[in-house]
Amino acid sequence: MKPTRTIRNRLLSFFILIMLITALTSVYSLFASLRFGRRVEQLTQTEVLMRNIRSQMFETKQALDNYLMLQRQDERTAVYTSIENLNALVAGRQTPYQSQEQLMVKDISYLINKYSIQIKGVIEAKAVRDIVGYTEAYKAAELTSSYINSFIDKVLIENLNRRTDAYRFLSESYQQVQLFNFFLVVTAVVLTVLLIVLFTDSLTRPVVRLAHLAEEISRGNFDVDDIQVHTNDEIGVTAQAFNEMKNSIRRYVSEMKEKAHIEKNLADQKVKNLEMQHLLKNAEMASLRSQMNPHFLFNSLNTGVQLAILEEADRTADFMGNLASLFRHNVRRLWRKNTINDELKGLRYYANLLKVRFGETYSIDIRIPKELRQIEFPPLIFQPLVENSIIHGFEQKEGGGRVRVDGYRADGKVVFRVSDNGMGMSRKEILPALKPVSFSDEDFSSRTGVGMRNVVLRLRLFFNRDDVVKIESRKGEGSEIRIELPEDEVAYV
Amino acid sequence: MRKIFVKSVVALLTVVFLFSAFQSVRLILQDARQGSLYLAQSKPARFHFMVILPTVEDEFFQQMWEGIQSAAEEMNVGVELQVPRNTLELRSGTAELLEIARLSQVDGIALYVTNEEELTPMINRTVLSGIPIITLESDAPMSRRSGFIGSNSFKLGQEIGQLMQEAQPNGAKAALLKNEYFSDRASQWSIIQYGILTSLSSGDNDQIVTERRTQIGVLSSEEKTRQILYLNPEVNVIFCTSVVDTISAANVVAEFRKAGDVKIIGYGYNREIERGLEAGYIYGTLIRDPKAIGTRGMEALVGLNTNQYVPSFIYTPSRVQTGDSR
Repeated sequence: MKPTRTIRNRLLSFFILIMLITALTSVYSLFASLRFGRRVEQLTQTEVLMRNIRSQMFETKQALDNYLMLQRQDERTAVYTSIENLNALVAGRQTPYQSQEQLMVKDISYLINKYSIQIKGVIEAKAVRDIVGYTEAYKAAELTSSYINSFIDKVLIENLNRRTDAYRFLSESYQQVQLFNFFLVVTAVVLTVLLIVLFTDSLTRPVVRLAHLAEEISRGNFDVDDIQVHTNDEIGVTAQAFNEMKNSIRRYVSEMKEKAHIEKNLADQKVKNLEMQHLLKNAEMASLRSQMNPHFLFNSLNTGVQLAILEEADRTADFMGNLASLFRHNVRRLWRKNTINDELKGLRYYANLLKVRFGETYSIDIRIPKELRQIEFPPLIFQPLVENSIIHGFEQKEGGGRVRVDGYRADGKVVFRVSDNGMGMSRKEILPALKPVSFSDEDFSSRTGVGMRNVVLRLRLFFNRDDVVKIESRKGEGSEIRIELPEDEVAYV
Repeated sequence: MRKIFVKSVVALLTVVFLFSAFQSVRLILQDARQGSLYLAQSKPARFHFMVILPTVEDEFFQQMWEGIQSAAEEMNVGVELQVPRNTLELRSGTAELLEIARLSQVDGIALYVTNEEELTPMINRTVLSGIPIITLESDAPMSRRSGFIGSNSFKLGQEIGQLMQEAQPNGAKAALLKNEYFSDRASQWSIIQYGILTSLSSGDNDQIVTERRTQIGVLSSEEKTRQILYLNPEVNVIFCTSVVDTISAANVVAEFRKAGDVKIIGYGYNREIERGLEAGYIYGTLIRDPKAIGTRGMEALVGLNTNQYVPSFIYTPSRVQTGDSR
């Protein structure tokens, strides 16, 4: 963006303005004093003229007297020169004006003409030795001279009156002019100083703000407000560019932060996946390890079953058969996809074993609708939970116990529930079960059995949700463990 | 807030600066306009007239001069006022001024004739040299003057006579204080006297007892009034021929405690005379219109210079005012 008012233009305009103000006051002061001087000169013009006339008349009279005494040619020439000078003084003064003074000067100019003629008459009469003629002419010239002198006096008096009035007027006028001149100079100085301060301020303020902002940004703080510069010069353009630059950097930084956050989440996910794989491998290893002994155990159990059949001990044969089926079910390959149906199968083996062992003391009631049975589900979940109910729920309870395993849909969720009417758990007992731990915890690794926490952790990892398991229990009234899966997240096999 | 304050200060200073500059320029322009009056930079005039008056200290002549000036300004005429230097030179001074006016080749002269006999040849000589002369209030009827502007002297005399009779119904014993303005042998004074006598002749006991000549100024008229009161105790009415004489005579009569017995008939009008009329110290006065005389005089001179018809006699109105008629 190109600035419309460049700093150069602003500086030029400002200096021209200041110069104009200064020049105006200076020129005015000069003009006022020149005018006053000219006025004073004009006032004395008439007086100077009258003095010159009087002096020239005196010279003429002297030249005439010299000529009359000596009658020499050079004296005669002197008289004529003097007369010419006298007439030259009043040349062009024969126009009537409205002022008394000028009218009397006009009179004097006519009288001087007459006087000149009379003087010439005297010289001519003298030249022809006309004594009576030159005496008469001389007297007439003297009379005219007295008229001229009398009018010179009147003009001087008139001039004095006028000058007195004029001086009064001029001095009053000049005083007022000086007063306003004073105001003019004072206001010009104050105005100039103020304008300089304002202009300097307007020029440097945005630069200073820009510097502060740059300092702030250099410290890494991009959250400062935009700099507000309303001038349309280079500073304005720089400020705008600076704001855009700052905002761009802030945007990039923010994008980078977001990217870093996403990458961190990804890394976390990877760690989780690794943990999962690690767990699976561990489980697989454990399974493989345990497959050695179970095979021997299965064979032994099968032998026991056959032996029981041969000895016609049917219940023993049935018990051992169920035990063998349960072991087989539990040690199957863990990477195979497992469903609710598989889980229920294992649970039934377990239930049969319990029935042989405890008779009708404990009943296990399984009610899961068919449509939910093909849902993919981690293995060995229901059996530990039921086992947990029987071991801990009915441990100290006299009489029988009932465990119920059911499933249903509610509020967009698929819920599997294991509930019992056992002793129940206190909050203190529930919390460790839901405590978020990982398989890498020493605390966890040190355990050998597949307990409640193992189940919770596996469910969380499998479904990638922390709130998948909920436990509700009241001391003395029983417990309820719910596995809640959002409908849209479950997979069917 | 700070911005508004700074802007206000700048605006205020700018206003003061511009106001000062404007005032200064105005003063310079005013100086140029008024200064020219003092600096004799007046406008060129169409004509140059010389006005010769015996004095401008008397209110009658002051008003006449005002009339002349206003008419001159209106008609763009340059008027030069000349007054003989002192009362002793009144006659010779007037003659000298006439001669200077002739030599200066002015375009016209307005003159108050102080000495008809001596000035008539001068008037004739000047008129013959091509300069028109108008006489103001005081005439030289036997001269070649171009015209007269002023009061009708005979009518004035008659009015004065009637006023004397009214003032003293049982017989007016009149004293006349003739001011220096009236020349001894001036026709105008003779005509006024004739008018007075014409009026007084209707009554048997009326007569002019004495006539005394006063000079310009207060002292002369006071002295002459005292003389009348001492030397002519029968005088019961005094007619004065100037404003100053009227006031001075009234003062002297009051001083002699004869205000009730000796009535003053004045000439002219001003604040003092007005007060005298109100208080009864002055019985009545003749009021002329000196301003109109001056104005008409200028009009006549312009008329003569522009080849217009100008009558030989132009009478300006006069009237009588008494204390009762107010």
